[in-house]
Amino acid sequence: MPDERRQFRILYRDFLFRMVDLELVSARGEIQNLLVQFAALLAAFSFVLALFLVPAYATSTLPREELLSGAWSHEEFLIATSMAVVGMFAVLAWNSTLLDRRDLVVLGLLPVRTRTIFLAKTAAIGTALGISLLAVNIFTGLSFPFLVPLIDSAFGAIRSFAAYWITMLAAGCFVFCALLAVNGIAAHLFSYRLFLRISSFVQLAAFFTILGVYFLTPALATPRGLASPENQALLSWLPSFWFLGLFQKLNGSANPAFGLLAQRAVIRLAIACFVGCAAYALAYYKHMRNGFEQPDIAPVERSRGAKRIGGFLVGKLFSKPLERAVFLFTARTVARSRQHRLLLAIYGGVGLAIALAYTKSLLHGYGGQHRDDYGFA
Amino acid sequence: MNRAREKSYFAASRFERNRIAHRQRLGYVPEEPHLYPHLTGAEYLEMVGQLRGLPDRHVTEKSDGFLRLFGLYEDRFVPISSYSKGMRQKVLLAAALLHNPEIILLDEPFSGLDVNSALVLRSLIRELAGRGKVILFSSHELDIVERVSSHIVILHKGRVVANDSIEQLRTLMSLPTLEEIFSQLALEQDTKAITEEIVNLIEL
Repeated sequence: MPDERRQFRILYRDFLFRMVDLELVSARGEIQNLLVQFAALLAAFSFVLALFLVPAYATSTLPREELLSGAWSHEEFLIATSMAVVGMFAVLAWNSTLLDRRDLVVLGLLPVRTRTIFLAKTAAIGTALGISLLAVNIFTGLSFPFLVPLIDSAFGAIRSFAAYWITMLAAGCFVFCALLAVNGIAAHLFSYRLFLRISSFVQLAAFFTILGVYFLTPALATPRGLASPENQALLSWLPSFWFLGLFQKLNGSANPAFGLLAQRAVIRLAIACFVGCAAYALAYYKHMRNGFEQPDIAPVERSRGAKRIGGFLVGKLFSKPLERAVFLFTARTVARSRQHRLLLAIYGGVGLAIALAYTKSLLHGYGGQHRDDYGFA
Repeated sequence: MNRAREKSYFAASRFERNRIAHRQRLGYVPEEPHLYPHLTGAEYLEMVGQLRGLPDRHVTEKSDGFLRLFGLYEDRFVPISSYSKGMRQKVLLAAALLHNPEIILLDEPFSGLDVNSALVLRSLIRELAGRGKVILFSSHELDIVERVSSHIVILHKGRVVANDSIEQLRTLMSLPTLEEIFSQLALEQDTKAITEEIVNLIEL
């Protein structure tokens, strides 16, 4: 009888390397290189942030109290960045969280228990999540907590360090579990074929929501912004501020504004984890049972009338057969191929990010406060 | 095969109760070559061998041997995404036979194979059957079926319309070939008329 631990190790390694939709980002399937490049890119981003933050805090002439409250915006920014990175990772790994049809065909014939496959998949997801969190915080996480400890002692520095990493882990888990819950519920409610169709649109919506929230979040991480009654409704909808509250509470802050935010963070994290894990487990086992025989994305059956109207419009717009063929091929590829749709979304997302960065300036005004332009006079 | 007969086939390890033991005894070549395209042929066989619990030494020895005999040794470090359909089919065959299964299910195993490999497979099926393996072989290529099978089941619209040895079927139906037996039992269309319509459509 095969050794389950050995099977777990083999499957864990394979699932981990296939966590991100590799056929999407690398047609040649150079998995190890690609994952190292991903991690290096995130670590480089962390390095640039640390390069900016460390000298700014180390040379600041502000009084300690002002420096600490000025650091809130950076703390919130780092939390929001971690959440955005984990969110993007979850979107890229969207189709890898459940077994695909190929997995079911290949592994379904082998003497491997469902439990072993499930555990290997879960461990691979956890590891990939941990790696992305670690990579994006590697330099900031090793420097920033020591720059702004609430208690000015060695114990304070260690506490700040622990608070930082616990908060980042919690924030990352919240985003990932929330998206896992959406994915799991969709997979559980719909048939495999319908799930694939709907899931592509949910994936796109999640992608744009993450970018939108990240770029449009207003700068509320100030003593006045957090205490102001008119901001409370908005704060209850912005997860990065809940986890800022959690970070401050773990760090020993007595500010009452952080108490409520930290409470929200803990409750909503627990809900997201519970719903995410339950929905995922249910969807996983449903998928294992039914996914084998279900077809992949297939064209929607359209009525004869719709076909005629579509044909008429395409004929009018594109008179030459070659133009018509190119247009129809492109449209059908984007409509039916998840990979092409996600690729298009990534390019669209880059454009959206640039547009949102300018929109934010317009919304808050060029002289208004941004996450990164206060705290250092 | 009805439920009672299925149970008798797999009586040694109750199918419903011990799927793992059942899968351990089974080698299956599916019709569609679903493989992990990012792995190389050697890596895929290594993974399958390890998941089947074969000792590492055997895995290497057997996978190298299969790759050499199937003419894939030169391409063993090339990702499967670059393999042709025939090469993928050979990887599937090797993966199905790696653990010396007692029961072998072959669903259109000749699909995509070159002439040499098809001849080898045909001979291999006979040899394995001669050594006591149970081989269930599904194909639409009737001449191959006729050459390699000792017992034939013809399915038509999900129902068994013939279930006997090839000699017995020939005698019963008074027909010389399996193709003619099949035409008699399962063909409902006028092949000649359809052919003419297709030609007319081509020449339109």
